[in-house]
Amino acid sequence: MEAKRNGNDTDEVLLSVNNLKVHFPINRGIIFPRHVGDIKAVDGVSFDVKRGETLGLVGESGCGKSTTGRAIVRLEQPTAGTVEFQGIEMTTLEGESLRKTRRRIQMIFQDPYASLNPRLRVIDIVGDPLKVHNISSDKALTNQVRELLNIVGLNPNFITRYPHEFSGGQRQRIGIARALALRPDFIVFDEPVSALDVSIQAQIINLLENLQSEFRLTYLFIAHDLAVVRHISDRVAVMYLGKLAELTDRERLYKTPLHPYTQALLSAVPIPNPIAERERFKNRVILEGDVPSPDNPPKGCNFCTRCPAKTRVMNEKQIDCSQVEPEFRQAEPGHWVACHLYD
Amino acid sequence: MGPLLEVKNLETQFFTKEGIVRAVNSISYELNTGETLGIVGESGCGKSVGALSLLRLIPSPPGKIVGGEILFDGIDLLKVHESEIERIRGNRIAMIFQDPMTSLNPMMPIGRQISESLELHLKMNKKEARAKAIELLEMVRIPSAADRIDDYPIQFSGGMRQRVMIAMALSCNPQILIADEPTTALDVTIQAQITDLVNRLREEIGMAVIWITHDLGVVAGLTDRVIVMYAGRIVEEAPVEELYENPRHPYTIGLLGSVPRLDEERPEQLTSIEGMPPDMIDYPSGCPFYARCTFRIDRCLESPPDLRAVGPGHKAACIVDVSASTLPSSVIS
Amino acid sequence: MTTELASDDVTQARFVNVRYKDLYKLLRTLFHDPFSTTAAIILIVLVIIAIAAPVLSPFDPTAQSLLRRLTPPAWVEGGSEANLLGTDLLGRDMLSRIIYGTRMSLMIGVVVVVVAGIIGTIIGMLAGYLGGRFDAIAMRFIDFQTAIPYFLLAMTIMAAIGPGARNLIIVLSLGSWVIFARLARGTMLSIRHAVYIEAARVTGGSEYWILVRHALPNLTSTIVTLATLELSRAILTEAGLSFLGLGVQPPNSAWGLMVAEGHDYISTANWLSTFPGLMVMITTLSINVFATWLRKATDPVQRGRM
Repeated sequence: MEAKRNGNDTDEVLLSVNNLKVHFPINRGIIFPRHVGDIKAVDGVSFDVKRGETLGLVGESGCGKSTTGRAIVRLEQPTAGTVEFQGIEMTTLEGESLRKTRRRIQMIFQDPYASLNPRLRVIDIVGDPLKVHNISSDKALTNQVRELLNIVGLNPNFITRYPHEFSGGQRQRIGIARALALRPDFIVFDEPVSALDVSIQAQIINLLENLQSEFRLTYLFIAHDLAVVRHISDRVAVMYLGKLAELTDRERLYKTPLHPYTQALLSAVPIPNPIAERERFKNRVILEGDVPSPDNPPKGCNFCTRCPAKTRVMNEKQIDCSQVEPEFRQAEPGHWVACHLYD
Repeated sequence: MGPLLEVKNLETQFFTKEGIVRAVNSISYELNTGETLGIVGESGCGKSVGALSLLRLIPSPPGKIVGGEILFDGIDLLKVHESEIERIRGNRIAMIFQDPMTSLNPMMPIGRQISESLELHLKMNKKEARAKAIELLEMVRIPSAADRIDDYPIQFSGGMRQRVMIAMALSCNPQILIADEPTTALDVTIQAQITDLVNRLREEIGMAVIWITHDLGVVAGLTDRVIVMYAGRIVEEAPVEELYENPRHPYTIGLLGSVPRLDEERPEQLTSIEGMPPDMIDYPSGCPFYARCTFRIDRCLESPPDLRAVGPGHKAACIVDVSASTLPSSVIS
Repeated sequence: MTTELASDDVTQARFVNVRYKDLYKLLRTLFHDPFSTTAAIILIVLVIIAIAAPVLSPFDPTAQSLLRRLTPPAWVEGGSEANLLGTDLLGRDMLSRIIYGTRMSLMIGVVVVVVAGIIGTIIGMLAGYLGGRFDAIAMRFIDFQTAIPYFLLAMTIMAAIGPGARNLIIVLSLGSWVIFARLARGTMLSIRHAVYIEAARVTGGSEYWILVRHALPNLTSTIVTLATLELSRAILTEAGLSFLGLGVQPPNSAWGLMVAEGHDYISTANWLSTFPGLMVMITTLSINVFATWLRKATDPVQRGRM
């Protein structure tokens, strides 16, 4: 077994998501709105995050991965299901108790330009969480913010600057400093590096890894880039159209993916090696068509409209994928998959 | 026969309130018939501005092509009359962009948008043009093209819109297709569909392709030759296999080390390039990569290094003889 | 320990300095542009005139002297040194009346903008932030009111409740708050779902904190700009209503009233209307020029470009 990087020797579950659903109602009519359906952005997702690990959550746009992360930090109100954080049920918290718990769960957003208030200086952006929770006196605040900037690799003298004076990578560092200010246990990253250039991306990824081991942080890392997710995650979950398709250790997922969707996804990622890439080009599983709309997902398995293994399932298992929905189950210990091939 | 397209010392600048932005600084390259050339670089490196300059699509003001030559089929595109370049644009050199919605008219059915250019450029009548439009949509593998020809752009998904753009670009059988980050906004499975499509069409039609991207992975499988740009300059140029196997510029080496990859064991840490690209207004007088370079020596500050041959078809703009395995030491005289 | 404290103090000191430096930078951008500079100077002078009216005016503005009626300005033939801008038809000193008129017009304008601005901004912010029923009701009311022409509404109400400075303030505020509410709501809607608002929520900020700390600063630039524009509009409307006899009443002086008083004599004693009219024009023009500069100056992103 490969040694864990971040010393998560315990198997303590820090966060447990159970059958989480987030549906957005579709209303038609301006004067008399009526409810005509739901966008099932997240439709029954369950997973655990262990203390000290990084769980990667990958999927294509519109698969519900961001909504899952937002529901965990309660930026979206879950329609059903539970999110348990160290014994605290997050989905029903309100007011003061919600604000208190939020100290321990933070989030980093994708767009480093939109996530910082253009009117506030760095000292306010990073120092506000400390003020909100009455952690810091005014006098100590400046020093604390300077220290936080130092931790994320920014010049501490930048505290009086405004966000527009920084580059994308530097802004993302400010966002990270803001999240770290409250000394959280758990951080949700929503596509934290996808807006950044490759060379800057590597800087931020390295920073996140160092911070994790230094502060014993637990990460949920949401991204569409499979290579980045592989690099940073201990375990990886693959999401498709509001549901989990597969969840297992990093190495297993990338070496022996079970779900046909994961297989197709991995084969679609171009790799920076011309000779290997030409070979892959020939054998590439190219999925036909687009992802169906989440307001009207297909019956049965939600991947059946694009699945290359559909006929195989019919022949081998005599199961019609477009009728029977596969269960998300352990195909082997520690390897969950939602596909009839492994029933 | 010479190259199909020859760019010589192209220089494009933007004249802004803050100062002159040196977006493209004297770049020279060639494109051969039927060849696929990749231009790689990070945002602001001048790769898109360089491509737009080829068709004189730089918004002016504030932009201006201040120098150089662009020889296409023996004529200098920078010298010909505006009406001449309009005939070449879209006809002999076509272009597709990152966001298809910016080039599609949202109020016009897609079939009409394609057939209109056919009527204009190829002098077809309405009926012929419509039939050809359906044929083109089928060529880019839009399912049930004949039924969808009267749909509006909004009714298509992002990947489908990019296919429509490609169909429009190919409508007049161009000799060169310039693709400016056409898959950046798309999901990876859709990206695979589009790259696969362009690759096949290129073989069928025999056109040359300039594929501009920040993604080293996409370029690897798609191109014959790659140009790496940094701060408005070409820092390395090589056949694709050579570039990935034996990069000779510190920036290329750093870039290849920065990307996490699926085909290799996971490294403990990514080798990131520290720092940021230089200010394009207050442009450095020496090597633009100096501040971030691990191989730097004092002489790098004297003047921006020229491209020099480091192997067959392989050029790098670095005065230090570097490769991925060498340590920062040996200097050529 | 001591060194740590010392360095802390130094940072604090530098921190305060930076604020002064910001102000300095702001003023420098102002002096960079001759138009804005002129406008700002005119406005400062007008404010000084308004505040120091009793000290500055050479005569009691209501003191009549029928013997000296319709004396032309000093530089015109028949004018006298004593009445620099001449006298009106009751022999009152024009300069003194204009000075007191400045006081009246600016006072009414500023009070209207403050009252309407505060009420409108609060209602608009809440409508935009809360949405739902409160928003729907507030917006329908605002739509209803905006459908009626402002000046017509003001005239009707003034005719009903009677003229006078106090009633004028009430009526003008009533007409102006909807503009503030609309703008505040629109801006709120665009920033309600901004990622940095979400970020503030995730760090545990209360709704009140988010409104005051994050939403309000993003409103200030637009609201302050609107306030200056509304100030000039209030001054114009006040002048209009006073001209029609529905506003400020004699013997008090206001620019609009003075123009009205002089309009019968426009061919024989044009100074009666010209000077107060000029004052209205110069004031509103200066305010508008200043507003343009202010909008840019209060936006940190734009400020960098000035």
